[in-house]
Amino acid sequence: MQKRNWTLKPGRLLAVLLIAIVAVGALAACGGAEPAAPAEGAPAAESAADDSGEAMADDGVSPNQAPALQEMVRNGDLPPLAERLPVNPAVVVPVDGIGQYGGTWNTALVGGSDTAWLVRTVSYIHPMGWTPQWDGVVPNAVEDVIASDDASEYTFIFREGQKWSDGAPFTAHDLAFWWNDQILNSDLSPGGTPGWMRAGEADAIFEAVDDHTLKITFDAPNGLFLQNLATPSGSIFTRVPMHYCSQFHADHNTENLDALIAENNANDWVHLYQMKCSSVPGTPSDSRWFNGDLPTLMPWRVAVAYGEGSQMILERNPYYWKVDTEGNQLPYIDRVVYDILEDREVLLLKVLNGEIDMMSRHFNTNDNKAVIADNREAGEYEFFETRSIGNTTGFHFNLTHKDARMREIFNDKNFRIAMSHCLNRQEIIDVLYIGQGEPMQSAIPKDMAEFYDEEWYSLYTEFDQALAHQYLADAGMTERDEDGYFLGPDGEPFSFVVQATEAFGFHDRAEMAVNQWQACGVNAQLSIIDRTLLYQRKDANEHDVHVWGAGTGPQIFLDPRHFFPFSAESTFAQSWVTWRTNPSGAGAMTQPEEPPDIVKQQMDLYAQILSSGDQAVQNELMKEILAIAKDQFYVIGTSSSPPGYGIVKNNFHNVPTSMPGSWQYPTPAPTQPEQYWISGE
Amino acid sequence: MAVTDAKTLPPETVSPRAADAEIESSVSVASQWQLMWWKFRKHRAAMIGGVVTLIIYVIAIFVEFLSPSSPGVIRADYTWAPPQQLHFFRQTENGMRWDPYVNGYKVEIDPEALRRTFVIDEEQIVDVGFFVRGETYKMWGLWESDLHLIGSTDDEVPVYFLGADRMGRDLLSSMIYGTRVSMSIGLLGVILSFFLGILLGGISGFYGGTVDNLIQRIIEFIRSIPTIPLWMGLAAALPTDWPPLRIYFGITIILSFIGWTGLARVVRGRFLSLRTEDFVMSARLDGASELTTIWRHMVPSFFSHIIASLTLSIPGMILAETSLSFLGLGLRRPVVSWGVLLQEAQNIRSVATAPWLLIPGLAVLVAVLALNFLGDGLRDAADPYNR
Amino acid sequence: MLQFLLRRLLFMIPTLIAISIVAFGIIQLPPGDFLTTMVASMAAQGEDMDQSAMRALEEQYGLGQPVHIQYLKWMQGIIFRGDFGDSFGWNKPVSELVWSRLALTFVISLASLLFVWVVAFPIGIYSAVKQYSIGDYFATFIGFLGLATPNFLLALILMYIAFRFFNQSVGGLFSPEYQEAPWSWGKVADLFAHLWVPVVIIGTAGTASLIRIMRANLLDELRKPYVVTARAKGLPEWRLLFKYPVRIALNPFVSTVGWVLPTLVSGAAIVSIVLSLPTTGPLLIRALLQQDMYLAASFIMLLSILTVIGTLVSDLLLAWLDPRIRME
Repeated sequence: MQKRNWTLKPGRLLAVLLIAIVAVGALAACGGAEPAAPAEGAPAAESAADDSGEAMADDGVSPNQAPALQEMVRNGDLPPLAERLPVNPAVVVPVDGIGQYGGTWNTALVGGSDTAWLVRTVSYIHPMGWTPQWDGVVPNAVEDVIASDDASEYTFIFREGQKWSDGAPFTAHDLAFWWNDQILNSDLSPGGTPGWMRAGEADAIFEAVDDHTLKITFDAPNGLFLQNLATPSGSIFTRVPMHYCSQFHADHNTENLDALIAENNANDWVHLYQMKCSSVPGTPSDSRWFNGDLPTLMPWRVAVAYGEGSQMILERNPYYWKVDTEGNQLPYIDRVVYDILEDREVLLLKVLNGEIDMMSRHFNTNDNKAVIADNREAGEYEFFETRSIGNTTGFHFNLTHKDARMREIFNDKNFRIAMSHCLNRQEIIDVLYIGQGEPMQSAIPKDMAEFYDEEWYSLYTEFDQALAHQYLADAGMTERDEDGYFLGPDGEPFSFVVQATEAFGFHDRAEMAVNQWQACGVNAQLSIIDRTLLYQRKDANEHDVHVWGAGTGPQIFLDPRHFFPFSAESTFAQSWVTWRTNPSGAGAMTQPEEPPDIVKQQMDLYAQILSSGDQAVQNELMKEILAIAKDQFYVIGTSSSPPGYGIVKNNFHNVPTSMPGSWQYPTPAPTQPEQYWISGE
Repeated sequence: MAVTDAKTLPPETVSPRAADAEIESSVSVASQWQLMWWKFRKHRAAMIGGVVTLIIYVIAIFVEFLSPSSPGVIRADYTWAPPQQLHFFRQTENGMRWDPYVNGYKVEIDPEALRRTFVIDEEQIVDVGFFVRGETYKMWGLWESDLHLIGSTDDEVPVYFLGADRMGRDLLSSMIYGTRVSMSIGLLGVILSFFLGILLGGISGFYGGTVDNLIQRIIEFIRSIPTIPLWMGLAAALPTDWPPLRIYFGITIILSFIGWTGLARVVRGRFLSLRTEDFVMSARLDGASELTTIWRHMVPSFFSHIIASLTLSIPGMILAETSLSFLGLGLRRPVVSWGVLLQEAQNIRSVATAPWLLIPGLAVLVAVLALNFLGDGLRDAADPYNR
Repeated sequence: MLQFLLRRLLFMIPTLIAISIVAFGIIQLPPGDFLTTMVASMAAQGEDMDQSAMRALEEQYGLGQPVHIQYLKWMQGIIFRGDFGDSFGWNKPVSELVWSRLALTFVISLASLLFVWVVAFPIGIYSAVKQYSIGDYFATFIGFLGLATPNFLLALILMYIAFRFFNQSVGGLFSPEYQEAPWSWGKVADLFAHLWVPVVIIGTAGTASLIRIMRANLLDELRKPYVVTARAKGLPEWRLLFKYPVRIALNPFVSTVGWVLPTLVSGAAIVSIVLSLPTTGPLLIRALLQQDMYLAASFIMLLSILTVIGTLVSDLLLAWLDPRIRME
């Protein structure tokens, strides 16, 4: 089943969704099973569990749930399945087929603040989610979303009967509480609202129309709102249960708040709330993982919290609100166990030993692939592919360099073209990627047909020292010093430092580039430094050449960092970035500076994208931005990314053999881990 | 005791038994160092250790000439290439003939496992020569040369006697270059801490009282800060815009900054018990200056212990450097040390598929063993009681 | 003696204050703070973080305040409430974290210490008595071998061998089934089955230097005239050995014994990381690398205080062992 990218025409959301639901129903019917999801949102709809009445066991306990839950229902420890599921549960189409209940998913975390792998595996319960193929967003934790044509008003429709893991209903009031009492509370959120929730001057308004309807009104159009909700940033929406968290809130609890503060050794109610409910996505400060009492919508709930032992354990959420196409309540897998390791090499050994069921983090480097491949048989696992379609490496020459002379040289496009022609990209590919990939400029990858530009893709990527020297001559660099290095246009010695860090092998690429530049007659020097330091130097605009990413992927609208000075990650022009994001320069490490008109034009075009709800218009605007980026040639790209990989045990099913690999698509979460299952011996 | 005139007699005669020893006339007039040498020669393990240490330091001096290529040369077609065995003789119709060579590789690319698979190809012959012309380098940074002790005679085809690393860099060359850095860090660091340790420990033990108390508190204070955090803090605080050479000195100083305190405490302990000994008393009564007393009378009397500590601390420095590298805070490429190489080999991929990358560990092992045996011999030789 | 002890205790106060300042200062030495480190490491994974979240965390962690204020607040917490602050990285109180790992750390440290002593003393004495014998050379060689192999490499290789040839579950101190299980005899047995690897690796390094020091000191003593005299008088060899020379030979060793425990705790950190042990070492190293400042600073202070106390103990021992060192 292929759901359409409905953001293309937000107005037609409902229609698309209905088609999708019907399709699911039909598919399920073809499979010989009862239609799991009712067609249309009609009141006739009954829960999937009720539908499977025929299969009901003698004692009236639905078999469409895990055996352990059946037992609990029998013993009266848990309400029947029909009462736990929403009236219209979300239906998941399993990747390969219906699974069986049971088993433990063994995986691992490294160190004490490795929450990102948790985010990528068990917590994809955002209001919106990416389609598994990353070609659009679909409603996830809510039943439906209706966007106004100008993209400034969004209405979320909640599922009737959807519940938190403690059985309390999940309603529009939960989100309204979160927004009004947590995000807009300056004590709890001193940083204000998240950047992507800001549109216009005033804060967005959350209004719970009734239990099942939430209206979000922005001050100005916010065209990328729904896409943002599908990224890890969007996880903040659906994680605060009002019935639980309001007891820690000064505005809501006037009875025993002081007692709670004392009981939990907190300094004040703000601290208490932070410990119990508050969270910053992707950071260790995330109560979801440290507070086992916090009710959740996740497929598994925390049984042993992070940091309480050498394992973190999650167990099935009996109130999970998704079912498979046969109406079986998900997740299939009973428990998720994260071993908390101290070292990646131990993790690698555990992978080789077959102790990890499914994972694609920390161990999956290019270098390790050979040894992992060797052990596939003994370890009883196979690879799956994570497609990263960006560029492997970008060389960011600092266009807003503090030093006027360096800035002048770097800003000369001829100089940068020369530097690009000096790079022997094929050699880099051969050494570091064993020939996987091809030379590629910091441009649009081939897979993105909408924006792909063949000429740009390979622009200046040819390895040609003579040509490079011509461009250098155009940049006024013809004379050489006694070591054979080109002097600057002013006849003075010229050299620059290339800074890189060891993460993801950037230092290897930097080392090769520096060698190649030196061979080309340019005095480049290598500086491999700690990544914190790297970032600090970058933030303070103290770098000559920064080695980091280039190009883009499907997240182009959310993060066009390499095509104009968009965010602090647009390392080629920190001062222009500050000008865009923080014009006053208050608290910024790099002082703002007004960019040239052509750059300002790009920024303006992006502002227009944000204020449009129409994908076609957005695409046209993006193309204009890209055309300017191509001409400006900000970042020197290297080569197309070869696919990444993860491993999955042979008895671990329903993991797609190939999936997008990115943080914005928090791999593998959108492939819906709740439908993974483990077969017995 | 027997000795009264400390100024005129060689220091070894402070030994209480020196006077009554039945020794040849040459021995009686030999200097302390000569006596030590005679004794040292008898210690076979120490002699071997000494020779090996000497060789290692000679290698460290002639790095540029000895290594087949420079450690930074990356070759795309030889990533993770295994070692090639050097054959000296070649089979011809006329029997074996002196003609050094190695067998070339057959290479296949395995895209799924992302690697090149190397098989040594008996058919392919790569000629190897001694005193070959190869890459140009600047000897000691002074003059240019392209003479290498050993290497491939064909510039296009490299040889890897110890295999290649993940970027096709020659391990042998890297190790040879690493020798210079690692061995000199050890030596410099120890010299620094040795000097500080004896001076401050000596002062502390010799004077006692307030001075002793002060120095002891300082030592106690420095020692009480756990080593690793201190290293990490200091190493991380080194300015990154420093050139590699200065970082190298910075790290040496950091290592010795901690190293001296242990020695100082030991020296002090010895001083405390020695200063009441008769021969020290006699020297002082005889009007020997304090410095003379320390250096000529007291230090020699526990030289053995210092040597034992010292020999254990050069390797300690070398190992400390590898630990810093392990933590990602030591030296970094383009500077190559054994620690840098070990850090690069500190992963399962290397252990499982490229065990030759662990050879720098052997280099550390050999160096540490040699230095220890050398120190052991020196210790025995310097022992004033042992005739 | 009592007066000496009191004076030393008095001296400890300024030392402790200085230590707390330095402990806190070390964390400030590297550029950046926990947040910048975290943002950088997230970026290295291709992850990012919203500016508003950054500011919220900065506020929550109190990182915006001047360093001396942070220090004073921290000290205030320690002195008045026994509160060492929260670990940013683990989102937990420091004391809770450290305590949870201390027991296993001590088990490993003590086991290693025992291993070192049990191995080193007999070998050291034997090597000294039978100087230049085959046995001496062999013991020396083995001792040096442990010292000369970089620990972390040895740990990795042993782990690989355990995996490759013995098909063992590697890393940690327990098999997966016992990890979260309550204590039982089975769990204790499982612990001991895993314990030997770290103990041997950590121990080998210390063994060598102890053997050498023991041997060197004993050789010094054995050649002193009183030994010769005693031997001439027909004292049995073993009594001759243990009556005085061995005691004196222990002297320089004792002057360092006070530092052994904290060294074992922090010195084993690197090996513990490689072996993925749930001990304090990895916690400390990670805290330092992440600039998780309250955790790291409290840790450094804890270890420092252990050392100061250890030094005092060793001074007392020294005075007791060698009557020549008289206390003023």
